[in-house]
Amino acid sequence: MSFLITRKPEKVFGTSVKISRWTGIGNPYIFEYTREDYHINNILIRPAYNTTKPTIWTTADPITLPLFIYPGDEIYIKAGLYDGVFTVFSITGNYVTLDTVHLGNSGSGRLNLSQRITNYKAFINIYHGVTNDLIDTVYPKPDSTGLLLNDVSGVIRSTVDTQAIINQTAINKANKGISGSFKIGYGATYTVVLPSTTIPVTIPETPTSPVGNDEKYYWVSAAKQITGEMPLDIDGVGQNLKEYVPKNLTGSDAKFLTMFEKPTYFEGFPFFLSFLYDEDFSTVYLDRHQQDVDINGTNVGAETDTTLNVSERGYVNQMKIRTPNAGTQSFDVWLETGATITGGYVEVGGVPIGATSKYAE
Amino acid sequence: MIVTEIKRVDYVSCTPEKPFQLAWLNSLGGTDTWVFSKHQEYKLDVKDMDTFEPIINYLQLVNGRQRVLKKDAYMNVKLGYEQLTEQQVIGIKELLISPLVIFVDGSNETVVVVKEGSFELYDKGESKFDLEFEIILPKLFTSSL
Repeated sequence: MSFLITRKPEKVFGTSVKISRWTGIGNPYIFEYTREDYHINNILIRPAYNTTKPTIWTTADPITLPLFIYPGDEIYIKAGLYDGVFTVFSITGNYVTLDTVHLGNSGSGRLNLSQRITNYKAFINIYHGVTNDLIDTVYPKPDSTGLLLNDVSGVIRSTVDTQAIINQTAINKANKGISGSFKIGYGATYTVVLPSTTIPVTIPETPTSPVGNDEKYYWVSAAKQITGEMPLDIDGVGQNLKEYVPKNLTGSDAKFLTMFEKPTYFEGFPFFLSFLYDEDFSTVYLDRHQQDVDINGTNVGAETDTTLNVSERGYVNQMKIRTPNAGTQSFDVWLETGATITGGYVEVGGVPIGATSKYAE
Repeated sequence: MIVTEIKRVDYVSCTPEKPFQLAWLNSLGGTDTWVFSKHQEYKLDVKDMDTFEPIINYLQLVNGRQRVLKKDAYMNVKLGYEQLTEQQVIGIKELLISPLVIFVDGSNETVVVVKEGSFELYDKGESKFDLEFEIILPKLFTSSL
């Protein structure tokens, strides 16, 4: 018997194994779980059990063999042509014959005990992505088909501390009030009702510890409605910020977090560009590159590059821009991968091992 | 290896008249800024929050029948900018839905609110726009009875 996470709010970058797990929490942040009391391998006519009625071959949990199913029970089946509640005709070991006509052969799916399991309650623990502290536990219930859609944006919103950073001195600074990360652990409890007894059951939390769980999800206090491809079939728009997530990947062209097509830097006033500093840059530094140009588009001075502070990774970052040279009409800014990080990194204000301090503008 | 878009940024070396810089969180979670011009100096908006009528013993001696318990006072500033492109207007309009707008004055930061219904956009032709809006500065402390 299992309770599985079946769809996650993430998007894959092309054919790579890299994934964007950044989502704006002004929109739903949905995970889909599925209750699967027994896994169905297939549904066929099996003459050994019945010559006209379909028989399910289940992968029974060894602990619960024989199955908690009795002739006459109503069970929910989701497997190919079989989708709905069916009555059990007979049962032999982990083969269940249905009291219905043969609809056709079907492949794998799930079987849920509509009658024998009561008080089914999932629990979803949401942990802070850095400290691993428990933020909250929610107890949603799957619907009658065993599906559960859980929106964690409300829980995450409770941790938002909306703030802006204006007078930063470092080249880049994380805004930890409006962005962050979290991890989830999930399980379920229920009661099995048998003719002679009841058995309380707990499906233990998966993963068992938030500390060893590397699957972090990132949030941004953003509400931009982003159209485009759906994240792994999860309905809705505006969920995943993939197009704004830089990756250590050829062809990555993440957008900066500005609503201006062409922002304006007013001389003598603070100016920033914001971007998502993704965890994918754990082995290489990111460098800010800048090239000034005059009114004719001719370069003014040489292209400059400055290494960003790696300890601000995992959050929305504000990046300062170098004061342009005299005669500059506009300038181009972008991020490039830099030197390889060796020996880890140290916190804000420190100097990475094996690197010179390039934090200052 | 380049990992982001190459963002072209305009550099304005002539400061607007009576500059007033705002920074705000946009709907992507980033921070955008713009330096506006002050079109009108600080204006004081005052509201009577509550009043009462004292008991009157002798009408002949009363010098007024209504007292104010408390007042609310706000300073407003009208800001604007001229000859904006459509794209610049799109960026600036985020001010209206931002959860956090900050007036940046040197090293000082003050959280302000864009006054509801004050945003005015004027089409000047040739895809250029002028805009004006008011911001409300933090509430002033007032003495009360």
